[in-house]
Amino acid sequence: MLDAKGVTKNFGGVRALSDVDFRVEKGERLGLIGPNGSGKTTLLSIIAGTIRTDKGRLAYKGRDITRVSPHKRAKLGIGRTFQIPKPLSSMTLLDNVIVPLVFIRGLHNKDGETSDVALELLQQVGLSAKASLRPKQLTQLELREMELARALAGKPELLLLDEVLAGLTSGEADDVVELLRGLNGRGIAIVMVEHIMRAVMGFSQRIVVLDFGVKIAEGDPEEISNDPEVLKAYIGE
Amino acid sequence: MKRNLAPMYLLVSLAFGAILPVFYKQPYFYFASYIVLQYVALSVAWNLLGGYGGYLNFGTSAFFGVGAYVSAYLFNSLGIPEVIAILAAGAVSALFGVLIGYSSLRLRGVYFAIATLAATTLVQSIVLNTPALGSAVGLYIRFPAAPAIYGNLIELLFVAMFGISVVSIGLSYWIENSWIGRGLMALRDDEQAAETLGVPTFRLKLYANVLSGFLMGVVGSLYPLYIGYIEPYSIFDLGISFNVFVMTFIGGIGTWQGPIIGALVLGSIQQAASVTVTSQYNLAVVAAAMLVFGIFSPGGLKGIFSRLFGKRSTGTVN
Repeated sequence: MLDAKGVTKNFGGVRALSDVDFRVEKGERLGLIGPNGSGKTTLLSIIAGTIRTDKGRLAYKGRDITRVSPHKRAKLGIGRTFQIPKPLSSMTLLDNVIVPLVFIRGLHNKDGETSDVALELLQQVGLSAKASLRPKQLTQLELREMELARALAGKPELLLLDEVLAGLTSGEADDVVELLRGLNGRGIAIVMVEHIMRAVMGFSQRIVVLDFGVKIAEGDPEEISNDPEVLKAYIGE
Repeated sequence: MKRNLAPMYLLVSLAFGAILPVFYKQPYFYFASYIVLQYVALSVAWNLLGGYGGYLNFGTSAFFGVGAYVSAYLFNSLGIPEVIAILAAGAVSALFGVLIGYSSLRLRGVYFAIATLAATTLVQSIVLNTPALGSAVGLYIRFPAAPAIYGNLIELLFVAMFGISVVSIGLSYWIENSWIGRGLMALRDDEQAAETLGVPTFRLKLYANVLSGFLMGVVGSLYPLYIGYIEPYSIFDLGISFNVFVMTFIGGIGTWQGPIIGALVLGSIQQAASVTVTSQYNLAVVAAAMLVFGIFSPGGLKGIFSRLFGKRSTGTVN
């Protein structure tokens, strides 16, 4: 479904990603892990289009999207959440969710129907009671849930989640993982960037490991947790 | 205001403006009101990109000036009828908006503001070095005859500016409540998030800049007829850009009512001050108001009204 080849990104003198090949299959659950600064978020941004790759190509559903703008990729079915939530701060939660309904799904806000759809999405992440509040009245955790509702509003086929579980208690994390499994069951491919190993290992069918912008390992969770390269990257020698 | 009533309000307002001079005869009223209405229209136009989109344009006088020079040139040198000259002025100014937009709307925040300042200086120096536009000497305008129902040209210009203001307000109201406004506000809040949510940010900024430029150009196109003589220093005056910014800010940036309130209040004070005190204090009034509101009420007058009557304003710059 997504096929990225030779992705390379330099920020000034810093090489954030070097010649990374990255594939996501249709309906797959993929974990993307690596130490801090290994290039995980940069890779997500390159797939979503908010950062352009210096070299290499990206194909999505057989179509070259290397130069396609982020809003068009959103329409093609690539949704994402941000590690540090990016709410639209002048709007209510409901309006935050209505934006993608209008711009990605082409629903009009004339009738109450669009609001109903938005409310349903907020309900999925447990935020329907706060629909009329503004982002600054929410906790970080709730903002992250709003990010998820917003990403789902675009009916993505590929969902990129940047540390959506960070800061959650293990009970809360289990709830979100349960929700994600449900979404995946409806055919949405999910790429999860995550530091909570228990969650990402339990959730993913396949894991990709980055270290200093290089892909150092790839395989099922079992293989990855026994891979000497991965242990070295995380624990040191 | 209910959606289906909007066209009626528009027509009633237009009719009111058109009829007023027939019944009410007071030359100074029309002379002063023209300038106030000019600021209403400019501020409403400015708010499209600056208020909803959060891109602060400090080049209002460049768009205004392009309109003024295009209409003066077409009308004077080529003898083209005013109505066509006005529309042509709007079109050229809109095209100028496309150029500025393509070159500088990719710049964020303060860099866009600086680029628009630079654009003003650029157009000014082009005019200064173009003999056909009168260079530094300027252009005198032959006054056209006013139609019989109005006593003089100023009354006619008042009616025209009233009409332009009403149409601008109507457009602004429509944009605020349409997908364009929603997208602009989304990108004002967070451009990256907006893109990810499917908002074509660059295209919307360009639309807003072009429409805003068109309206500013149309407003500017009438000015030569009002003042009779134009020259580059008074036309491409940063004072105009500054006024428009402050009026919108004080009225309530990012709401359709804000720029109207701000321009009416500050514009009237300025007009009164230029008669009773001295015209030199025009900008001082505006600057003082800017300071007071900047510190005590960033939501502007609209924000104060909304707080008094318990409704939240939709717009903030942050």
